[in-house]
Parts: sequence; C-alpha cells; structure tokens
Amino acid sequence: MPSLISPAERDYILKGIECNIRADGRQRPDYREVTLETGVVSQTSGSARVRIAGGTDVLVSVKAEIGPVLVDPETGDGADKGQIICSVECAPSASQQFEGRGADELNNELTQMMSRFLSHSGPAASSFLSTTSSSSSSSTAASTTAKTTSGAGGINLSKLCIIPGQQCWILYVDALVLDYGGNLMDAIFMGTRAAIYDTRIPKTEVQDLGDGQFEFEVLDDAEDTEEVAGREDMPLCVTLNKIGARHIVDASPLEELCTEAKLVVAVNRSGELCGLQKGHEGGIEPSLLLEMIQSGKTMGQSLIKQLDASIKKEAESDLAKRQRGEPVHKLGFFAQ
Amino acid sequence: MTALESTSPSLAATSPAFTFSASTFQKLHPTEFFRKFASQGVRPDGRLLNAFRPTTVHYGVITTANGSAMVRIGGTTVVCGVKAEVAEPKLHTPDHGYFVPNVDLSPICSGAFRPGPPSAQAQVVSESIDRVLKESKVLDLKDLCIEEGKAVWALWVDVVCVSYDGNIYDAALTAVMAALANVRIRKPTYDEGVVKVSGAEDMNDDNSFKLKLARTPLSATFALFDTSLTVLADPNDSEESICDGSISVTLDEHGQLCAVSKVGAGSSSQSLLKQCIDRTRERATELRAIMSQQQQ
Amino acid sequence: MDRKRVAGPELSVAPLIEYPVDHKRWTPQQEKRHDSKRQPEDMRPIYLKTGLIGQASGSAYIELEKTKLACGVYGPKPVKRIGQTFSGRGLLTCEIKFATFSCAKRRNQMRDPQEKELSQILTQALSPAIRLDLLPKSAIEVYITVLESDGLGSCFSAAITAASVALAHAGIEMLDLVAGCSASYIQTGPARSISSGAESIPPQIFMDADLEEEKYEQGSIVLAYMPSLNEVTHVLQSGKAEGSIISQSVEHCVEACNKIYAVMHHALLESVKENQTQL
Repeated sequence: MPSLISPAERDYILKGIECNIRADGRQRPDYREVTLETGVVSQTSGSARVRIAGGTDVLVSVKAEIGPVLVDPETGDGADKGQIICSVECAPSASQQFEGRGADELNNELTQMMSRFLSHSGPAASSFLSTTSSSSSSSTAASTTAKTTSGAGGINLSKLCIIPGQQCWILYVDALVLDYGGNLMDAIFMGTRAAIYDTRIPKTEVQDLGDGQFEFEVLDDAEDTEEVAGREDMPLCVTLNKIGARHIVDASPLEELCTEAKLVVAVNRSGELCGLQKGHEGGIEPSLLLEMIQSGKTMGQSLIKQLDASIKKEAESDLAKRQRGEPVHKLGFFAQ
Repeated sequence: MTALESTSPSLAATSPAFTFSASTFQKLHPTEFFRKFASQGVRPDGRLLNAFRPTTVHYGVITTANGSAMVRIGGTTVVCGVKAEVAEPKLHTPDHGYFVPNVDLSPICSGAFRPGPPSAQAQVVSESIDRVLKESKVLDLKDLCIEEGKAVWALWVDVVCVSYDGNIYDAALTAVMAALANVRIRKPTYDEGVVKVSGAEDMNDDNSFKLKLARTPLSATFALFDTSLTVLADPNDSEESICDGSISVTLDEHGQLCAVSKVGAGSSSQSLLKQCIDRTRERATELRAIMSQQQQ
Repeated sequence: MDRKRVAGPELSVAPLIEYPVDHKRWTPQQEKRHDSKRQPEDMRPIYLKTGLIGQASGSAYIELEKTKLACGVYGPKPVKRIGQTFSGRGLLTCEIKFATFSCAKRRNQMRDPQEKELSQILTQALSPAIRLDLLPKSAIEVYITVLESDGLGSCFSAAITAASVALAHAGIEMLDLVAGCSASYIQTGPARSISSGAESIPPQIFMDADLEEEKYEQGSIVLAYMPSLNEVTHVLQSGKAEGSIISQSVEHCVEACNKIYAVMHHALLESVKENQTQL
C-alpha cells in the first residue's frame, strides 16, 4: 500500500477527476464491483465477507452471547434492553503500515465511528457517552458499548432482553480488515448489515419461579432461531472524498492520499441521516458540504436497495438448493 | 535593560570583563545571576527572601464534584476535585472507607512534564499528601462507612495542576484541605446490596453531610540555596531548578507539627530548622485567614 | 494494579439516585429550555481569557457557564521522535483529557478510547487553519484539560475555540481562527413514527445544549468553521435526522460560529492591550 504519492501522480488524479475520468476509468459517482457472501464463519451467530474489486477485503462476524444488563445509575435506563458492542481491527497483514502498533489509531477511529453510527437513536441516550467495556490497554482493538434505547442503528434492543433487569443478549460485532484497497468504512458497514441479516439468535424460554426470580433456558434447536429485529433499519455509510473542487465516492488508496477532506455519511433506508463525520485535514465550504450530504444520502439509499436485493437472492438460492437436497457450497476464503 | 558584569573567575582570567543583558546572563549563569540578587536580600521577582507569593483560594468551583477548590500561589494554579463513590471495604477493615489523593502533573502545566504515567515528582507529592493526611488522622475513615462489611464511601481526591511555577506541594496540600472542607455527600440508604441517595435539588443538612476534619494541616516549603546559606520561602520554578535542597514543614491549626521533611543540600543546623518552623506558623495563620474569608 | 498512583478500591460505583416524589425533572415538553432564560437559538455566554498558563507558549481558558476548560500550546519545538522521517510540514498533536471529577460519573485517570478519538478529531479540526508548511521539522503540541463538562457537544466545541485562541496567543501563523459550536435535535412534541406516517412536529434544534438537554436528544451536531475563509474544518453528526434538519442546523451553526468569532477576537485584543500596558 503506498504511503507516499508523487506530485505528478497527484496532478494526474486531480486533473482526471475534474474531467470526470478517474485513474481506473470510473466516473466520479461510480462504485467498484462489490462481492458479498454471508455465512462464511461457522462458529458465529452470523457473518459476512465483503470484497471490493481493487483490494479491500473485510470480514464481519456477529456473536450473540448472554450477559448482564447495563443499567445507567442516573436514569435507571437499560434494564430491559440488550447491547451491541462493536470493534474493528486491521490485520497487520493487510498493509505494511498496520504492523505492530501502526494500526492502533485507525482501529480506534473506525471503532468509534462504527459505534457512533450504530448506537445513537433515541432520547435518554447519547452516542458521545459510549463507555468502554474493556478497560485493558493491551487490546489492540478498542471496543465500545453502545448505550442506547430501542433502535440502535435501527436494531430493536428491547427484543434482545431475556430477563428484564438481569440478563440480555449482547451482540458482539467484530470487523476484521483483511486487505486494504481504499474505502474501508463503506465495506465495514456493508459487511455489518449483511452479517446482521445472516445472524440467528437462539430462542429462550423464561420460567417464572415466583418471588421475582426467573430462570431461562436457551433452546438448542438449530432450525428454530430468531432473526435480529429491526435489521432493515440499519444504516449504510457512503464515504465522499473531496479532491480539488469535486467529490468522488469509493476512493482507491492513491485517491485517498490526494484527498483534501473526507465526509462519511450514514443513511438508513428511509432517507434519515444516522451520522455524519468529516475527516482529513482540509476544509469544506458550507454549500459544498450540504451538496455532498445530499448526494451521499441518495447514493446510500440506492446502495441499501441493491444490497438487500442481492442478500435476498443469495438466501433464496440457498433455500432452493437445500430444498432440492443439494449441498450448499460456500465459496469461503479461497474464492477469487 | 541593565548590563551586568560577569565576575566568575574563569572568564575574568582569560579576557576583559563581558557585559551581558540581564536575560542573557540569566540563561548563561543562572546561579550567579541569582546570587547577585540574594546578596542584596531580594529575589529576581522582587520578593524578600522569606516572602510568600500572593495566594488565592476559591471554593466550590466544580459543580460535578462533591467538593472542590482552586488554589493559586503566584503562577502555580491547581484545581482539586473530590468525588465520592461507593465501594466494598477491605476484608480486615470492614468499616473503614477509602481516601485516595492523587496529584496529576500533566504536560499542560509545563513543558517539562511529558504525557504518560505520573513522573517521579508527581508520585512524591501524591505520597507525601497521602502520608500527612493518614498519619495526622485528619479524617476518621469510620465516618465513611455506609453498611459494615458491605458498602463504604471511597473519596477520590484528585489534584490537577493547570499552571506550574514551583512549590506544587504547598499548593496541592492547600487545595486538598480546602476541597475536603467543601465536600458535601448525600446521605445514603442501604437496601439489599444497593446504595441509594436522594436526588433532591438543593443539598442541606437533612439530606447530606459534610466531612468531619479532625485538623487542618497546612504547609510551607523553603528552598535551600548555596548549601543552606540562603533560605528561600515559596520557591518558583526557576529558583527550584538552581536550589539543591528544600525543607517542608506542615502544621495544623493548634500549632502542632504534622510533618517535616528535609531533602538535599548537605546538613542544616537546628536553628535553621527552627527558623523555618516559626516562619511556617506565621504563614499558616495568614493562609487560614485567607481560607476562612473565602469560605463565606 | 497501578503502582504509580496512590491505590484506591479496585471497583467503585456511583450510588443510585432516587428522586423524591415532588421532584420536577426538566423535560423538553414542559418548558422551552433547561435554562429558562435561553431561547432555542441562543448560545451560553462565553468567558474567554488568554495567558492563564505561564510556562506555555500560548494558553486560553474558556467557560460556558458550567463547562470549564483550559488549553495550553507548546511550540513550535523540534520533533523529538527518532523514527520520524523528515517532514516538510509541522506536526500538530492535540491531547484532550477530562479531569476525573469533570463529569457526573468519575472518569478514569488514564486516557480512554473516547478521549483518544476526540484528540484525533481535534487535530483534524485545527490542521486546516494552521500554516504547518511554514514549520518544517517542528512540532506543535496542544493540551486541553477539561475541568468541568456540562454537555459533551458543548465541551468539544469549546475545546476547538479555546485551542484556536491559544494557538493565536502563541504567535503561530494561522490562516484563520477556528470557531466551534454544537447543536442538538430534541423532540418537543409527540415523536414521529415512520410506520404510521402521521404528521408530527419535527425535532427542534437547540443550540449549545447542556447535559440535561443532551439526555433527551435524538441527535447532535458539532461544527468547526473558519469564518473569514468560509470553510467548514470539521463536522460530526450522530443520531437520526432528516436531511432538511441537518441543512438547517448547519446554517444555524455557521451563524453561531460567526458570533463566537467576535468573542475570540475580543479576547485576543484584550491580551494584546494587557501586554502593552505591562511594557
């Protein structure tokens, strides 16, 4: 992965973008080809792998575990809700810059951004108040708990509660960046949405022993599982890079090096904005900012439609294969 | 700008006397520069050798803390905040609460401090304050008990230095004592493993309590220059860097000694120590007057 | 076990707060704002002063009623890191630290990931304004200590404002001062539900929300803006909001930043006058 760019290359990319021709032949609002596959990791409750042609490869896994509820001492909030804990880690093999502690800053930035876009939604909650669940400084991936009301990035947290005030489902969403080819955030969110679609949570049976005591049992039936409620409202994000006076989407690594300012727009299928964050060290004019937000929104909504359609198609073809008695082959890690 | 003649022997031997501007001379020969003032009985900032810098104390500056105080001694500014939280007591002292003082010298107050874990200087100051308050039994930790063996109050006393200009120990101790006097903790009720407090808006004596301080130790620090020949009260940062030792005396309001510490600068005579203790008594009286005036 | 500090109990929690029966908690439906003197478009009065920290090259102290923070700037100074290759541009490092007693819940003494992220964001917000190309091989260090925090959005925007003033006080060449301001979207009427499609009041934009108001927010936005160059150096929005609300809030924030700019100017002029009288 290049970490330096020569002035000649920079000029070439800049001039090309002004003429609406990017270095690889795309136009400014064009995405590269995205390959998506769900159910690649068998040990998880749900997983997905996203590959963007040009090198970006992200694996997102969702594990559902049972844990105690997180109650806010001041408001008493959270006693009847589950939790979502996100973390992003860039594998040192993905790029020369990621070896050792090089990826720490990037991991932290991506994790915080992810939990901010997924966590905030209702009153009596603030995404800024996300507390750390792991206080150990040795972990290279910083994970953050989303302290939320129902609707964490659309997901219905009340449905994740097992015994109010005591036990709930905690969804650990872990994203692993296997290869860097630009545009990490979009890939991570696409993977997360697909993984959550693929997630199946076991059903639980709660017995009331009386006296406020409850006992629950996790039903071990692989066929009888629940999907995550509210997953259709999960946001996707679009990264817009400002180069010169224009902006592009889905930047390649070289284009990212030329970026003056980057805007990440998270939007859900109803067109509501779930988050906005600017990065890099340049400024954006307010009118251009609003324009970028608008284009990010439209692009995000169409991306959600396409993603949902392809996940549905994959699920339908898998179901059809199973019904015919054919084994379902997952392409897995060795697919090109 | 005044010109000062250099009288240090090495230069005088090889060349005619140089003249420097005052600030250049201070950078090249800081000890000589200082000696020129000390010989006249004053210091570069105009103070007499035994004079303390103007001190201000403000109470209740941080509303999110149970008690707080801000102390300014000359250019050194510290803010102390006390947070009271509930914790399980130690096994061998089931009715003792916790008292945890810590001084934070962060890079914001001076370029000499680097980010990261506390430096040796910060650790020494934190430990000294901890020792003075524990050994002098300022607080009875039994007062902090909520339910024996189950829940006690833990007082986290954190001192943040905002601006550093020497004599951090005096400033930190004064801030800690002022903050402790300012603390108000809501009265707790213990109910099946959960500690509850009332959330009423105004805190009065019905729903909250103040800490009972058995005594209020206050301190004065003296820097020793020229191996105890010159004693400087309340040294600032430039004076601390050229001095080789210091004496710190801590007294309570009854004039009883709580702590004396002497470091560096060879040996000091008994009369010097007595001189310092007497000066501390005067200083403590002044300081108490300032504090009680502000508390109104 | 942290051996470098005086040790306390391993785990301590805040007690549970029980409000008395007659306690009236502020809700957005009841009155206009938590501070009844303010209108939704009003910011809190700002107290801004420079020169608090003697040893720093430049410093500033800002108070927004209950939010208090101090900023110290050290530099430009030579870059110390050995592995650092030659850089034609200066290196800007920002570190923000919340004092342990600054928030309602006691914070850890060590930096947590939230502080690390805010530090990164602060660096990104300030870099476009500083002429780092004039300072090769140099480093500028900006340290911010938050003494009391009343609303995280306001805390962060105050940090941006104070840092710009401190940098100017240090005499570092800048293209423009960066003003920061924040706003929250709060539902004052019945909540809008998408499925029912019923028409209801959209959330209202409250400028510079404090802690009580932030508890009810549906979303928030923090904006850093350079008024003379008319450029946004940073925008951070979280929570769900419609596109129109966002455009509106960006406009409001830009207006508010212009007002804050005047306050920053005033503070810097005052410090120059003070220096002149001292000489």
